[in-house]
Amino acid sequence: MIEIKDLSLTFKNADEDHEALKAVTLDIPEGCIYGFVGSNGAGKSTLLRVISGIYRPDSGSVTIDETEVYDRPQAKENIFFVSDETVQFSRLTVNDLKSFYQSSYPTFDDKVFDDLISKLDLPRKKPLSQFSKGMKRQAIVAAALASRTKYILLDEAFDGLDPAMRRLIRTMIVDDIFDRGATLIVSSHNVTEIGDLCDKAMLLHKGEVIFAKDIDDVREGFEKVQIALPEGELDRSAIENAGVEVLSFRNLGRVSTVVAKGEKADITAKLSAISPAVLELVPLTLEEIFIYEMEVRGYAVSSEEDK
Amino acid sequence: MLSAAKRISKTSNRDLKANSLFFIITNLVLFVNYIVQMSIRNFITYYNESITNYYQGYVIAYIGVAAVALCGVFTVFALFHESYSKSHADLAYSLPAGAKERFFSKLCTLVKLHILPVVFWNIIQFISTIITTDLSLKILARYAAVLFLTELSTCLFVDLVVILCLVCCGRLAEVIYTAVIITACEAILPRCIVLSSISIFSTRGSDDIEIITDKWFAWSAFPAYLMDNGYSNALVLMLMGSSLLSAALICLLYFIYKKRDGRATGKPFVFTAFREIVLILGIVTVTTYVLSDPDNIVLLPVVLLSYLLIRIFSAKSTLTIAKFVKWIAVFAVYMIMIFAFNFISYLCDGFAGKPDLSVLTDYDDVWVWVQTDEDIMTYTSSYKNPEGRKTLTKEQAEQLTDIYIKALDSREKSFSDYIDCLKNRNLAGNFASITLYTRNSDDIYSDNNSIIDVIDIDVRLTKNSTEQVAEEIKALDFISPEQISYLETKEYYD
Repeated sequence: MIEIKDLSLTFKNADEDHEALKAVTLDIPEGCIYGFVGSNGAGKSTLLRVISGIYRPDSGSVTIDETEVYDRPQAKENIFFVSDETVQFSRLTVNDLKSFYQSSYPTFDDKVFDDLISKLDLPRKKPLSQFSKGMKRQAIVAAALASRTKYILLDEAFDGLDPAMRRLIRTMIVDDIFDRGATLIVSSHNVTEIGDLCDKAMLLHKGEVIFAKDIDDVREGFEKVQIALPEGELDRSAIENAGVEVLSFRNLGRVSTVVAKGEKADITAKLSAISPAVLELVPLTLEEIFIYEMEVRGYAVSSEEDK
Repeated sequence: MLSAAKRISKTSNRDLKANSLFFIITNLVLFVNYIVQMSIRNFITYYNESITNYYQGYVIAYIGVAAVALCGVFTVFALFHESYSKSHADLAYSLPAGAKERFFSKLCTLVKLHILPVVFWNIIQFISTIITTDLSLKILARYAAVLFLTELSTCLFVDLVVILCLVCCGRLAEVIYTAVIITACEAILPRCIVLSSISIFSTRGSDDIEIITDKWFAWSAFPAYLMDNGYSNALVLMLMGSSLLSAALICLLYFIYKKRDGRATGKPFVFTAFREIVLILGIVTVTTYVLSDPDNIVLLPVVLLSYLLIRIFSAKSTLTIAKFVKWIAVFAVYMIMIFAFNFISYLCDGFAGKPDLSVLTDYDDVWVWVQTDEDIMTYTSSYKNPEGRKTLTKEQAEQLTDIYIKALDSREKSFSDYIDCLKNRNLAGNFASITLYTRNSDDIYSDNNSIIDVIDIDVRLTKNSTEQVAEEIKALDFISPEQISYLETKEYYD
């Protein structure tokens, strides 16, 4: 298990210091797929780097199986960090990459690596600088999986890949993770992908944790309703007067789409009281929850439609 | 779980494989150096056992040493890539290794990639020279030792400087220019300080101190300069000491290295103190150089400009007038401190103390030089001595030195006199000097005669005081007019 307690980290600059993480507390259990989502500059990559032992925390602690991570080789043997950059591997071939990680991770499995490379049909003797972005990512993910670490951390590792490549790499990882009960931590801007892939998610904004829970639990407490009156158009105040906390209201003709905060039964009961012709609950995506949570915190500017 | 030593070994082997290209290039350079060295000597060495013991072809040796050291620079840059590249930092710091394993594995790799090839090719050269000459093993061993230790000392010092800069900076530009500043200034700083603050104000001869500043080159990027002086046991010992010192300091850099984490990469200077040290080093070196030779005063605005450029380039924040003014003020403070030290040195006669006259014997061979703006008066005790004796007695020497000590004590120090000293750096102006060689007998031309000690006294005086000294010397009863010579100052310096 990864335990993060009261973690704070500041980047000291000449102009002013930037507090990237503020008292972050989080537990990441074994065997799950954990998604980190957040706005740009929220601190996702910073948090991943602290967990990986790249950054030293200014205060608080990060432990893996009760061992502090920073500057501890025995803890870091359990982690494989895949960053969004691949330039550090440019001069290496696939064979060099295998040797590199073989000598770095005692649990490295040659057979797994060779099988994955064969499956992916990657050339073994060409330098990675001659690979496409997707191929580079495949090679490094193959090395990550072959290292057989308990925790694999991916920092926007799918960004910039086409949908087919993303799916391929995701499948590669997920199959392996499930087989051996490893833990995957993924940070991404693609909230939909996180929603599809992960069983737990954490939303980070300006270095603070907004929520950290199971994906199913994230959707709880929010409902999306499509509602229409028998005659005339509905407006936001009518919904609010019915006692419903409205996060978002949009009209499309006579049908209004409302995102409300509260329990399903309670919202349904209150909206039923205004005698709608149409009252339908629609599944809410993680992306929508992300957007609404950010709006509440003044991050995104809502469009005219979303008033 | 692997032990730290095993991790270091595995990591070192891994880095060795990843950087094998540098191994090939270094060996290629060393091979070419070997061929050039052997060719210069037509495979027969020109080294002769003589008083001078000079090395033939040492200019080419300089180039070879520089090329080998440069190989080390590139190797170090490759090994410490995470110091200035964020993507490499992400990789290096996330791998299962702590700071100790990372640092010492890199040093192990550096030894394998750079130092061991230097050792190997020097052994090859030594064996080749033995096979191809008929000179004695002793001579060849001495010759080879100097060549080898010069290369080793240069390589280790350059590696030390580059690793220091990589550890203390997080951006490639800063690594490069700080390494250049440190390498250039470290070698000449002692000499600049001595010439600007000791030699110029000392009333004693400062040759001993100036010789030490020459020997300082042994611990610098330019020990090859000392090969000019030929072989000596002292040279070998200095080069060995320099190599060991550099190696020890490289290891100690670990304690600075471990203070870094991934955040440091990308910052111009990881440690603010390092930036200030480099700036101060550059400013002090150039300013003391100018003070030792005021003809180069144009370097002062150059150093100010360079200082400001470094400040601007390494500042990651917005430039404001207030910051600019602060930087100028800091520069002014540094300059004031340098000039203050220089002025104190003037007041304290270059911290050299008074001449030690207790070593005078009954056989003192004396040279006197008394100079004003117009005339120079010289006296030599062995020249046209009417009594036929070549040296002066202790009592006679003391009479001469008393005149000088009295003149020394009568001087009035002032700021304007200080400025005159700086302006008249080339020994024009009014001064009196005396050199006494204390010997073991009175016949300076005999085979058994040798110098036991040397006393040098140089005193800057006013014109009247200088003329007074000349008159007092001429009035001594053991000095005959035939022994005094005169020159015109202007004619002499032209």
